[in-house]
Amino acid sequence: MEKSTLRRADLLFSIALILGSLWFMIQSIKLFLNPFGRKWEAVPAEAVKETLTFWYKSPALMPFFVSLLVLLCSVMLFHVAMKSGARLDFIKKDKIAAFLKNREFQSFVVITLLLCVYAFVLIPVCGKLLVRIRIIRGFPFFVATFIYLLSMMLAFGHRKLGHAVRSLLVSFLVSGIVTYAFGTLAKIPLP
Amino acid sequence: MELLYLIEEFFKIVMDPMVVLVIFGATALGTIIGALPGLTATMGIALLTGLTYKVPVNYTFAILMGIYVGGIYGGSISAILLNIPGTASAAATAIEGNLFAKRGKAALAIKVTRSASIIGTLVGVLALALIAPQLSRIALQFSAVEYFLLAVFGVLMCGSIVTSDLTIKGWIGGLLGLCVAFIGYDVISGAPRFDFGNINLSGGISLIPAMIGFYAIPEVIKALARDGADAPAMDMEGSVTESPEALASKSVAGGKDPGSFAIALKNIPVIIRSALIGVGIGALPGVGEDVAAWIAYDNARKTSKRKDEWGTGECYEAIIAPEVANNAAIGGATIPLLTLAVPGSPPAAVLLGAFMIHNIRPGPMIMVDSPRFIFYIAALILVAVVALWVVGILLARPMSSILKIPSVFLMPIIAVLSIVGAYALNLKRFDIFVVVLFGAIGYILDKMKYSAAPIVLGIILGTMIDENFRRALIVNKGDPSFFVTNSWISLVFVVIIAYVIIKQMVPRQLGSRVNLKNLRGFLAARRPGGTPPRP
Repeated sequence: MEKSTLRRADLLFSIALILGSLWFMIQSIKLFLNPFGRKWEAVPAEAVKETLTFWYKSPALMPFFVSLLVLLCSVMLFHVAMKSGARLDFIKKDKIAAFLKNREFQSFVVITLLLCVYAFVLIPVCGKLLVRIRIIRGFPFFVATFIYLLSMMLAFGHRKLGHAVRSLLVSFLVSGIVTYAFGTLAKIPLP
Repeated sequence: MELLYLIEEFFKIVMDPMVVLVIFGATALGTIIGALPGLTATMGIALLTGLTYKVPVNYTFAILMGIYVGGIYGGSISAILLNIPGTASAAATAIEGNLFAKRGKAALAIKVTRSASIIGTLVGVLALALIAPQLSRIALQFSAVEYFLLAVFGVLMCGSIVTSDLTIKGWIGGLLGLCVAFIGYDVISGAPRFDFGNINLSGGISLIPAMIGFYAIPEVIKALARDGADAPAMDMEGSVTESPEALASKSVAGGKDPGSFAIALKNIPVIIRSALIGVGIGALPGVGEDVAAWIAYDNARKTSKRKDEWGTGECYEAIIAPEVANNAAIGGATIPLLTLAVPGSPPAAVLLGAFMIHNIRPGPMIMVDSPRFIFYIAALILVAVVALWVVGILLARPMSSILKIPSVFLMPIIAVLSIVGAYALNLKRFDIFVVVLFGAIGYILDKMKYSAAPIVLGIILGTMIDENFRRALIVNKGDPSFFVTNSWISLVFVVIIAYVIIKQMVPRQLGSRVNLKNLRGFLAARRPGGTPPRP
């Protein structure tokens, strides 16, 4: 990332951090006054008084200090970014469109989405649909892993028949090895 | 006496052929992991911690220490052969190492770095066996005040040193890690914190899934997201004058070392200095092997009597110094890990997680509870050194083929192993969510030059900081002056912490670290079109 782009990202991130730290600080104050999350009406005045007297016992003490430090550091980061010439002028329609079309960003989104689909859709769905098929222990995991590996390899590899065949073979073998080695040999519970 | 314990533990391990076999296999796997770009020792240990959860403890630690030692060494192979360091700790080695390769001396350079790695690791082991027991005795005198200050010092130092951009980013990383550590039930009061009624959050964020997320997933995304991800994991073009196969074949298995140890031993002053740097930097909380390698490289260049040889492909000092230092840092990083429960490097941080899930509590009581455990770990590293020597020779020839595995095949497999490893620990689907979420966050933070090390150290030390801070205040009825007046140790910590903060903020106004200028320049040169800097 170029330095000017980096400082712009710093500027944006520092604002997010300032907001985040303020939110964390508010949560810490709530925790300080009402540590066990009771309804506010149910918190007796004596309890608040005791909390204020013995402030150093509060579970909110360190989170509050840390949120304060994050806020300070974020303000400093904001200052450094501004001093480096970074401005929020990049939040424009065309620049956002260009960012969304950026190959690396698209790859990041695709990889993360595929990983989510694998972990939260494929594995549970295969688990439900294929639970009765007992060719090997963890057969549903094998199928889910095979589909995930193949789709990743095809999505990021060459658009050639040779690569597709190799991807198919590698996905099948790796899924089988992982399922057998961990599920059967090492007796590790598979997702 | 300590050395006798070390030797005794060494022979106990050697007498169990299965453990020896496991260490040899793990060291070989670690070497391959270290050599492949994108796969690091930290990632290897994090993945294997999850995957070896059900393996007996003696085998587990044999595997993890083998991966650690092999992983740190492995990076130098690809650094020399292809000018692309497999791990960050081998980046300094690549500068001169690849020049050796371009002159047709890759085989010799690999042998010399192997010898340097072995020597460095041995020094680290000796330091671990000799210093750790003494340090743990001193640490027995630590009260809550000292523990709090030690943990703050660790996060602060790690944040200050490892960042490759603004120092404040390292601090922000550490603080964000602390915020993550606060999630879950408070040990002192029993109050739920920041769980928002979610049962998955009430137990806190599990350490190993978080680490897998931070160290494995960003590498998967980086490798596949960059242009040409369908190319081999190693970009072979224009790296060396000879093909990797030809270069590797010259360091053939079983071949007699043409005086690589002799070459290394001719550079005794460099070795001693680099080993001390490695142990010292390694012992600093969270800093680790890569910083040790750069500082040793920089030190060797400044103190060299043969300055004209640097950058010519003939300077052995330039490849010996970083390799001795990064391997000596293994022992160095293990010292605070075992005696203070404060990891000295990112791989050591993952090891701490591994200790915890196997019910081993590192800290000052370790010499009381398990008096031989420090020597056992030191002996495992010692056996791994022997394995490294053998494995290094055996893997020389096939390594060129291994380095050609395309990212597009390798990285999805790493993603699958990350999911399996994270789930295996607690059988919680939420841990898989943690891996994916922290992986995505880790990638975005990495793009903005936030190092994962202070974040992870913050997660690890967060509980230590929080609990000891309040315990100290409770004992002293809320009087904060006790943090300075408690003992001379606490006073020293307060002075150092204040000095680090003032030094970073006043003269350079939160600017970049000068020490890592080389690293940034070198990493910038790794980009397409970039050329390696000449010393």
